[in-house]
Amino acid sequence: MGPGHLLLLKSTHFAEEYQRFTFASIQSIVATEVPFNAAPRIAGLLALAAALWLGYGRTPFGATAEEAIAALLGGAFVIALMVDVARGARCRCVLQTAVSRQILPVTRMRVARKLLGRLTPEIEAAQGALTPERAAEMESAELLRAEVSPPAVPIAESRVPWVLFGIFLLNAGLAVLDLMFPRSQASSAIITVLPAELALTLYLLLKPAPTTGRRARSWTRAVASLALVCLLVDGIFLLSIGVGWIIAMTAASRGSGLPLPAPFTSILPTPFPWFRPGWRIAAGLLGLAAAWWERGQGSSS
Amino acid sequence: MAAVFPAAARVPTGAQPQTVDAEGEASCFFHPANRAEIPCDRCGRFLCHLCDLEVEGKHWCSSCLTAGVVAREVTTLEPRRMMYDSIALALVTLPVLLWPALILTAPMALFLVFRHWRSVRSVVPRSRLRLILAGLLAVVDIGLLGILFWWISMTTRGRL
Repeated sequence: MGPGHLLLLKSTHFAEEYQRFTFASIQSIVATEVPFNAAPRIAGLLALAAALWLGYGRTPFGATAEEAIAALLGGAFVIALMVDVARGARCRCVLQTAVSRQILPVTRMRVARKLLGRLTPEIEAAQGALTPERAAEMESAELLRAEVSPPAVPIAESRVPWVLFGIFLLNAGLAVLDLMFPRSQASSAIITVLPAELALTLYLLLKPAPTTGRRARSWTRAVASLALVCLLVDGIFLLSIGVGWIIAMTAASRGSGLPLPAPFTSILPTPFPWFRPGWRIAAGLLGLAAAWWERGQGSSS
Repeated sequence: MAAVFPAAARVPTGAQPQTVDAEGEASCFFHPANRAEIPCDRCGRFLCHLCDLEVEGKHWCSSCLTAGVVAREVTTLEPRRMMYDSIALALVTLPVLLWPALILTAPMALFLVFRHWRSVRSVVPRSRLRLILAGLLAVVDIGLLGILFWWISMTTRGRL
């Protein structure tokens, strides 16, 4: 806050951009609580449970590396979850003037309350307080204005669900090919594609969507949430195999008498060989069906 | 949670431009149909009510105001500042993984430290700590690079 104005500072670390809003020109500040999104948290907790269950001595390379990976992943997630819960409810804070609408960098309700507590006396000192009569007049005018709804704005349909579930099916095909013809090493492509699958799944889950109707993509998100759990389990498998391979290579190079391990890409089979293609086929088919069911149904306002 | 203030109910009451009525009346540079009300304090162009921008007690036309902001003549409208202290610090710390780049970045950081020692910094309180740190690290980096080159030249000379 500066003399007579609110200064909004946007920093990119190497440069700062400033926007000033005089107290006399601020029309309103609205903080809206963002609805609690349980899906990522439930998916994370399931992934944590899976990591702990699978991490303890269930792979052929001993338990130490897997335990460490499971503990690290699980611990990081639990800490992130605790910090998130401790910081309180999320919000979106908007400052309105006659000529602009600015989203303020306030993301928690607690901070928004503090900000409003500090700003309101300053703004009222500049503008005077809004009388109840005037507020009622404004409200009725707003109600009259609200009767005429704005035209619907068409929203382009996202192709991400189709691409994601299509990739799942493609990779499932590669994994099946690898199981039927092990020398083909077809599923080694999964090492490369797994981060892309993970990124697309997270994008699908975190991208804001309308809260009601088919366009909320509830079914697509539900399938993506379950797929995220399986992806994380897959990732832990691959990571543990990779770490085990590195440990075995290091031990062999130090002259421990052990034979050199096979190349990393040839040891992709896991203790559950049909897990990788199985969940991908299920998620791919269910996801494509859900995406077809929830495909664009007109427009949203 | 929302706070609404009286400005939300205020009806905009901007001055309306007057049209040129009589022959010989001066017109606005940007709107020939509007009567000129005031000249720009920077370039002297005639301006109507629409084009007259009053900032810091002076009357500006839009192009002069833009130029004034760029030339830092209008300090209250300064929209952006470079954080040269952060840049200098990054120049001596980020190339850690690609240390040969320090041959270029360390002298650049040292230049930025001296060039912008007195420059205005952020509008929020900020000490010169980053500049001092960047200067010290740049000197250390340059010293270490000098020692490295000296050692390489000595070793090479011995072998040759």
